[in-house]
Amino acid sequence: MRISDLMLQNNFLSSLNSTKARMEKLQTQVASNNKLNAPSDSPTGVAKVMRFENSISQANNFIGNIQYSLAFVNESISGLDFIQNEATKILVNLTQVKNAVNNENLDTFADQIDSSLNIILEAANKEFNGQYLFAGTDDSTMPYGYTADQSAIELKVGDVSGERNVKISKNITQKINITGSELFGSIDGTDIFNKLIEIRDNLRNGVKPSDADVKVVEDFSKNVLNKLSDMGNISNKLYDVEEVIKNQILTLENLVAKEKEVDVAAAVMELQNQDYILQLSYKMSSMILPRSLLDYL
Amino acid sequence: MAISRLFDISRRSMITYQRAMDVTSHNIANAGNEDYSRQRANLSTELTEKFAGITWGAGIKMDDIERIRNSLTESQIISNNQSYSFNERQAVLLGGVESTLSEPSELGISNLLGKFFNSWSELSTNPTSSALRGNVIYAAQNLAEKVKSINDDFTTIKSNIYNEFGDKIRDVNNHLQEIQSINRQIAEVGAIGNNANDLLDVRDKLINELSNLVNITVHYDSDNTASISIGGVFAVNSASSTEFEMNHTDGNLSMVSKTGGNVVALNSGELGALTNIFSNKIPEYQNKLDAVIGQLVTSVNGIHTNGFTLDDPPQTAYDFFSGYINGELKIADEILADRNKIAVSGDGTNGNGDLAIQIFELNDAKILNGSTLRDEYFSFVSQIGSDKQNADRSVEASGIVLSQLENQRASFSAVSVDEEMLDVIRFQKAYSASAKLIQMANEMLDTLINIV
Repeated sequence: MRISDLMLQNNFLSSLNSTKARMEKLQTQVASNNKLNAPSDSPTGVAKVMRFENSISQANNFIGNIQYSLAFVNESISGLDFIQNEATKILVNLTQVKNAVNNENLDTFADQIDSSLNIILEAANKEFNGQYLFAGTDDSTMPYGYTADQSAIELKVGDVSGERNVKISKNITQKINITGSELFGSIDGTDIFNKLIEIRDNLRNGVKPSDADVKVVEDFSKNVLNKLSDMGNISNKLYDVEEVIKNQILTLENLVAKEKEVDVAAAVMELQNQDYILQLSYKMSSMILPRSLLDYL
Repeated sequence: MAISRLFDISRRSMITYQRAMDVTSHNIANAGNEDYSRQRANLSTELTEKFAGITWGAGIKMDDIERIRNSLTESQIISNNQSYSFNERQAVLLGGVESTLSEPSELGISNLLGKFFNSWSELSTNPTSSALRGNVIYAAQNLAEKVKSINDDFTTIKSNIYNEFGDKIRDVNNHLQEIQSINRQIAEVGAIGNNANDLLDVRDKLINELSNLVNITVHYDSDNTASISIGGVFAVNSASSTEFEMNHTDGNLSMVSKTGGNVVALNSGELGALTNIFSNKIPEYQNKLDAVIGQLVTSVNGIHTNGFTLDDPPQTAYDFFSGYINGELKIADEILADRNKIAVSGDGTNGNGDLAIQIFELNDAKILNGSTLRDEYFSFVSQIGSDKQNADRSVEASGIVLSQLENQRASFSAVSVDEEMLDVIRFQKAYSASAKLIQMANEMLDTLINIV
């Protein structure tokens, strides 16, 4: 084959260019520690990374929702605890009041029941971050309160049966509240608030509570215990799902790292190798290109 | 046989080798000229003479000066030039398109779309929260800005292509005029029996440059002139050249002849790449992006319109997006003015966020061509990435072929200084020997004269 001077020049130039192009790519990868800097670096790899990162972002959002829900649930549990304590106190009082030795102290018992009633009312109106815990989904105003003449307790909002649903994973939408309806039933005079008012007023009038009255309080106490248990279950579920999602995030982050991260040691070695090739090309071109027969004539 | 014949043969020899040296020195002078094709002095023995019954040799003569060119390699280079420049221009343009997406990064639509949906999920935890309502609006605004920026970038790229397309057509017209002029000169020089080698080099250089711009077919006529057609439309010969202009109809760019309006079938060269990206690729990408964003608007509004606002009394039938018009994703003015107009309550109570959950669930809903919006967007990004990657690989592959062909051409046609120097030595020695012969013939004549 006839070798012209232009061929030699073109070959050297082409080899220098390709070495430099490889070095440029390696340098970008090492500097950014990311081998996926554009979709064309690996179209399928980039799609995978976007999908994984989207899932991580979604999972972090679920974690945020779970943490908010846990705070809401813990506040609800604390509110229910107050209510349960007062219900227990009332039951103790109702048992003691039956004893004939307390016949002279009915007013004192009435006061104690009035105090418990107000604590339960306070807990029923408990608020967390602008949301009433036991008002369903109506956060417009305090849900429970006295009537204008202070003779009874009434609902101040239209409906307290709304469920607060929160998305805690792709497939789970969790109800995180105990609705007012579930906890207190209908506020229609037969409810716990108005029953306690009736018992209080009767005591003040020297009338002891009937067994039926005691049963209403017992049933309420049992219901509160059940709701506490429900909240405990929701809390456990939230913790469990949070744990699962955190594990998912770890797995996804590993997958993203596998797709994106550069094997720095290998890249640096390759970079050095290319640098060596580049220097060799320069050396060869400086040795061979300037020579011709003219140098020897 | 007269001694004077020695003078004749030597004189002819000296002239011939001097001319051969001229050719060699022309080659050496052009050793650094990439477009030059080396020339060779073709020497042969002069016609013999018959005298006194004997045939006598008459020395050497130069037949012609040959331009060393391999026509097969040349036509392959023209053809590969077209595909190389097509792929290279496509790769550059697709690189521009690709960079508008900012993927994979936090600034890309993938992340912003995810954040938009996540903001609804967050809002569902506390629908009365003004801050969380604000988050939904900010996330939507960020998404809308990125969508607008991509669409604006697409428009800018198309506008740049449009301008470049016009410039390149002017470039084609200039080349065609020059080729026609040189064609004519080649014919004229050839007609009076002169050598047009250097004009042929200039003409071939122009043809090579033209093949970078458009897909051409070249025919060489017997008088060494070239007839060229571009994409099936006559472009130039020695008699005339066609003037082309740009045509932009129905979103398509094309190249047509000024007279007659013949449309050039552009399928390679830089102009082929420009029209392909302008008329096919970018509209295809825009359609895909439009489908994703259009469906987002329809689906979010479809749910949002059933929700109740935070007003007292709660209102319904509000759209979240006012539309996706001319590449702009617009959030409803009422919502921008009053975040309480975000309607996520399913039953009218202000703490209900059921519709926010439904909107969040659109993230995983297969609502576009049997896929999620996210997956459709990923496939859109992958397509651009694959197109760019294919163009890069094609550039590399056609670059290798072109470089091999150019090496073949360089091997055949380019100057080797070593080879030329050997010719110089060869011709110089022959020239010196002929001169010596004249000296000897002169001495022989002197001897004869002195005898008398």
